[in-house]
Amino acid sequence: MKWLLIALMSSSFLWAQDNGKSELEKEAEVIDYSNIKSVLKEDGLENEAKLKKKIIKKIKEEKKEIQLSKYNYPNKDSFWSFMSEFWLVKNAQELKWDAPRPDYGVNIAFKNLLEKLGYYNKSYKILIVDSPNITHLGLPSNPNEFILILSLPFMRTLDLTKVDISLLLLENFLRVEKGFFQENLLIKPDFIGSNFYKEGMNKKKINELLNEYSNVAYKKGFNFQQQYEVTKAMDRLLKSYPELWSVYFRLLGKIDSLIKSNLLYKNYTKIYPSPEMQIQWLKPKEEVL
Amino acid sequence: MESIKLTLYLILFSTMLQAKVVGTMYFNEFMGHLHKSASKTSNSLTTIQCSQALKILDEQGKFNAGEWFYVSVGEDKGYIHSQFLQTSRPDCFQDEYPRFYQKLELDLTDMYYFGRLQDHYLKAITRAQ
Repeated sequence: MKWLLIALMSSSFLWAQDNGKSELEKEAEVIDYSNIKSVLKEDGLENEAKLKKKIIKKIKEEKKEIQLSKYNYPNKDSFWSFMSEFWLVKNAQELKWDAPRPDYGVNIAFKNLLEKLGYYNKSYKILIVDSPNITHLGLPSNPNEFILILSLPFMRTLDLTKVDISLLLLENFLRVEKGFFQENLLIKPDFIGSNFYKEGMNKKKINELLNEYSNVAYKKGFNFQQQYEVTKAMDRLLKSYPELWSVYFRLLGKIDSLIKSNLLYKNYTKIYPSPEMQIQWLKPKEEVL
Repeated sequence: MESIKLTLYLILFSTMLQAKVVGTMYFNEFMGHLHKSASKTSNSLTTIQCSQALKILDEQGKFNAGEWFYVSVGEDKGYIHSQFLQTSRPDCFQDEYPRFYQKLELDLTDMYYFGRLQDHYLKAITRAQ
């Protein structure tokens, strides 16, 4: 029994020693790095790894771009409508547009006029204000969109018809189309579409632009050259429709009389110089024989 | 026993009265209002932002009352004009320029008036050529 135990113990010791050795040897054989490299090259795994790295890099760059784009100022296709509406919001009390009032059929009349004159696929918004401070105005907006303001007291004082109002709106529509309001802004929003990630958003610029909007809308208005261009454009458009041309001509006469007699509208010519001149520009030239 | 019956009847009656949600739509303007009644000039219950999901309700014939939808927004139930609703999520200014919008720091009055503007506009698009 004793001899049997001794034999067993010695055999297990020998087996363990033999086993350990062989493992080490096996490992040394397997971890031959040069072999792995060549195998990987043959398998195309190295290329796969490079490709993955590239993809990850691209994803990271795209993510960064998306993150950066969140810090963009609106581009020119969405900036102007937002800015004009922001100005209307900031001037809500002064312009008194937040009150219930009827449509007066202006919307359909103006739509019909635009279509009659060949203005297709144009989107517009008309806001009726209960203030004489702005009589009528077109605000800068996104492409193919028009924001037009009309004063209720002005319409009432002049007792304007739907056709009169539509023609007045058309004048403003043309001013917007020609970009005169933007042209007259002293502060040019050069930041449109740019990124403010690094330097931060300059809210002061937005406020300055809002003030400049007020300046143009309430005080500065449009110059003679711009008025001439608009009047001539109206003349060209309405020449094919003599009845509309006559209404427009009479409308200018009505406005001219009003601003000369009503103190409430004494500043009208500062904004739109001047109905009297517009009438002269429209009058057919008398030929001297 | 009688009181239990009465309670059961009340529960049944109140569930019958509860509005049925018939769908979800999204608000498609920059900002707007949930109205107390089916009129653009009616009082505002709450201000709504672009892309906000609204549950369309069918409650005692209020669903699709003319051009108006009876909807719920959070705790409030009221009316929204159909022109401000669409079935798919709209592209919104707020989502396109999130930091710009955030940095403007619009206060409640600004938001209120932005919403009211949509109510007061007379809008149209001339026909395509």
